[in-house]
Parts: sequence; C-alpha cells; structure tokens
Amino acid sequence: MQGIRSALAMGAAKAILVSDDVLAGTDALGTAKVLAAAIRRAGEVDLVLTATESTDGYTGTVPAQVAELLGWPSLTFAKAVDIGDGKVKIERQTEKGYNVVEAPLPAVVSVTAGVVEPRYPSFKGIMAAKNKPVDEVSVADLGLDAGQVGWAGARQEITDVRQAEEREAGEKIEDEGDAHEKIVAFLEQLKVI
Amino acid sequence: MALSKVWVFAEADSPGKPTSLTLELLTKAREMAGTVEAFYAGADPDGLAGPLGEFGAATVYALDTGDSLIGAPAAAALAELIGEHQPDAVVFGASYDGRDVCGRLSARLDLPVLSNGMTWEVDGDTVTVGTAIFGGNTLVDAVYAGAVAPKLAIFRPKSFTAEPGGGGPAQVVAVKSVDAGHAGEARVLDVHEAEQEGPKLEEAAVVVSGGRGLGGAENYQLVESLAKLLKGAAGASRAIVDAGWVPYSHQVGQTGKTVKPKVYIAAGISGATQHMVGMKGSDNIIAINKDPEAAIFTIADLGIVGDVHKVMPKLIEALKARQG
Repeated sequence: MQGIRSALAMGAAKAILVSDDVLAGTDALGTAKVLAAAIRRAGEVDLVLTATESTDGYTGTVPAQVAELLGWPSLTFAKAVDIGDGKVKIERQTEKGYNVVEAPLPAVVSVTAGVVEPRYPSFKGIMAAKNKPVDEVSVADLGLDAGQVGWAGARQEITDVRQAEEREAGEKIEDEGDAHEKIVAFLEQLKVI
Repeated sequence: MALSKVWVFAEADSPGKPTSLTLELLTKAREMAGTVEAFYAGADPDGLAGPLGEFGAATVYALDTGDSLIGAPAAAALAELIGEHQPDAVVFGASYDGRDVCGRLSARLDLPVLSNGMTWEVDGDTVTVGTAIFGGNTLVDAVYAGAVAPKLAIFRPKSFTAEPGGGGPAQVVAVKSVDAGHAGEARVLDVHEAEQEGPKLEEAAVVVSGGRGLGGAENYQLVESLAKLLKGAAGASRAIVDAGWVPYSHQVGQTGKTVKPKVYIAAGISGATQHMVGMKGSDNIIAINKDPEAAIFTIADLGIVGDVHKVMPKLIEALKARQG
C-alpha cells in the first residue's frame, strides 16, 4: 500500500490493488493475466507503462505478455517516450545503440531505468493522496480462476535450491607506488602481453 | 536421453552474422535434441543459412517482418509454425527481441516460460532450467510441471560456449506472415548504431571496465587507453552509465552485457552483485580500488588496493614503454 500511496502522491489519479493470498507463487504469465484483467477493469486505457524486469527474478517477459493478452503492441526497453497524434514513439534500447519505434495507441511501453528523473511528491500531493480512490480487488473479482495463478497456475516446480560455488579471491596487495608492476607481471604470465 | 526436436530463436548482428548468443544456444541444443532448427525474423535469411547450419540448424524458418517491430508478428507466425511442426522445446536468448517474442508467444499459447536460465539439462522427458536469483549467489533449478508442450525457455548470454558442429548450410524455409492485428502495428522508423572501435565487449579477450571510483567522466579515457593498449574492449559499471559518462552499450552486468574474457580489469568498481553477475565468469580478474573492503576483491585473482588515478597512468606508461 505504501508504494501505491507514493504513486498517488506523485500525481496518479487513482489506483487498483489486486491483493489476494491465492497469488502467492504466481509466475510471470499468471501475473500478466492478473494485470491484463485489472487494466480491462480500469477501462478506457490508452497507454500502459511498465518497468522492464524485476530485480529478483529478472524474467523480463511480463510487459510483452500483458500486451499480447490485451492485443496491443509492446514497445519495450524505452529510454525515451513521446506521445502525440494518437501514437506513441520511443527510443528503444538495442545491443548496439537504439531504434526509433512508433505505434498507434493503445499500447504497452516498458521503460529502462534512467528514462526520467522521478519527481518528489509535494506536501500537497501527499495530503491529496489520502483521498484518492484505491480499488482493492481479489483475483475472483477480476473474473479469474484461482487455478490460473499462484503455485498451481505456475506450471513449474522448483527441484533444487543451492548456494553457488563462490569464486575464491587470489592475491591482494596495497599499492605503494609499484602495484602496476604486479599487474604487468600478471599479464605477462598469462601471455596477454 | 534427448528430446526429439528443439527450435532456437535466431538473431543476427549484421547481415550473414548470427549473434554469439544464437550460436551458444544452437551449440547447447545439439546436445539436447536429435533435430535442431532455427526460427528467424528479419532481413536476409539466406545469408545466415551457412553459419546457422555450421552450428547445428538443419532448417531456418524465416519470416520477413519488413519494418515492423518483430515481437508481435514473430510470435503470431511462430505460434502457427509450432502447431504445424510440434517441436519439444523452443529456446530464446535473453536479448531484447528474444524476451519480447518469447513473452508474447507464451501468452498466445498459454504456456509457462523458464527464464533467466544459465543451465539446461535434459533427462528423458524432464527438462531442467537452472537460474541464479537475487543477483547470482543462490541457484534454483526448475522443471515444467504437467504436460507442457512446447517447453519455452530464455537463456542468458554466455551460459553455454559456442562451438561449430561442422554441419552444412541449413535449408531456408519461408514462413507465411500471420496478421497480428493492432498488436502488429509497431514499426521501426530509424536505426541508430554507435560507432564501434576495437573488439566487441562480448568477444574481447581482454575487458577493462571503469566505475564510479574513476571520479569523473573525463577519467574514463584511462580505461579506454588501457583497453586499447591491451587490444581489448572498454566496459563500464551501471553507475557510470546512469551518470551519463559512457553510453549504455558499454555496460557490463545483469542489465548490461555478460562477458567472459581471459582477463577482466575492474578499475574503480566496488563490485555490486549485479555487476559481478556480468563478469564473474572471466578467467582472470584484476581489481583496482581504494577501498580494501570492496566486494570486487572477493572474486579478484589479483587485487590492488590503491588509487586508480595513480595506478592506471603508471600501468599505461609501463605498457607503452614495453611496446617500443
């Protein structure tokens, strides 16, 4: 709820919170189904903005999955976004630089970190947030079956969890003006130079 | 025991040149399945027949997407092809387009995806994909539950090593477009590629990376000079990319590039978990940092506790002197 209140304080008009115990263990596709249903419930949506991935799983597929479920184009990895004339235009990150991509609305756009500098909520915004509507819904309210979400809906099973083999550190020295010589010797030994 | 047929989503760096990630996936797929085929959406598929075949693809199903953003049209066409040919698994690299196409495909066919994969094993019918959560120290193996067909997976770069299999050119089969409706209306208007000098980060034998410890954008030239002297590539931590000192194409880490060079030199990089994920597979790691407690030292083969502004210029001078 904290995140929702912050978002409302930063300028959002209202919120939908899908909170339901059956959601525990939901995978990316299940999450996308819930989000798509909530977006349809919000009605009259022209644009859906998302991040590109979570910092625990890094699956990075939810924005594309939401778009497919809605039947909308997905313009992903945007480092700049522009709206005008019923279209959205983005600079889409690529491995070598960026592409300019455009689509008519409605659309899903996922943005990379650094796309904007977030605004700080003003005191007025924080106070106003208290009265903005937050629609709290369950999975059933969205017309979804509990079997489509959660651990059961995920259709994947974890078979092993273990700690990675740690890479060991080698030599560590303090520079007293000649550490660079150690580096040269190391590189020589590796036949890099 | 192997799967019968595995498809690999193929991508190209430039005409006729598959991405390293594509070749890594094809190599691993050869171990996993009797038949390996590729699906490609983009220009000039004929140019790819040779290299894709050499790395194991018997067939390349090729879709011409024109100037469309490939995600939706590729997923639509691939879904139909899957219905026709019934591969056991379809695997994608964790590239921008790979994730888009796989994501859209999974929603279209209502199939789970095992993502961010780093290991891939097949035992009879059981397919296991291993991933590292929370930035890399906890490994989790997962399998598909129930009858899932085809099995979809997304793999990180450098999870597997690319090795040619010696096969002849793949047969190129043109794929019919499937109308994706409004979803297919995104178009690429313009392509901007940064000028590239020297070896690519993912392919360089030596990578020299800089972080916040460099102090300022003007000091990144130390990294570039050193990289050039060692005939390597220059990389960066996310911190300095976000700060605007260097373009994103230099970023090494979870949300940047994964590299496995012979030597990785980390200058002024503290060693955030997400950075280390992108380079801890390097053969040899040298770290230079003022802070003796910097996390980077826990994985460095040679750690120098010192000021990069002192160590690097001296290192550069010494290397120049050796060269003549």
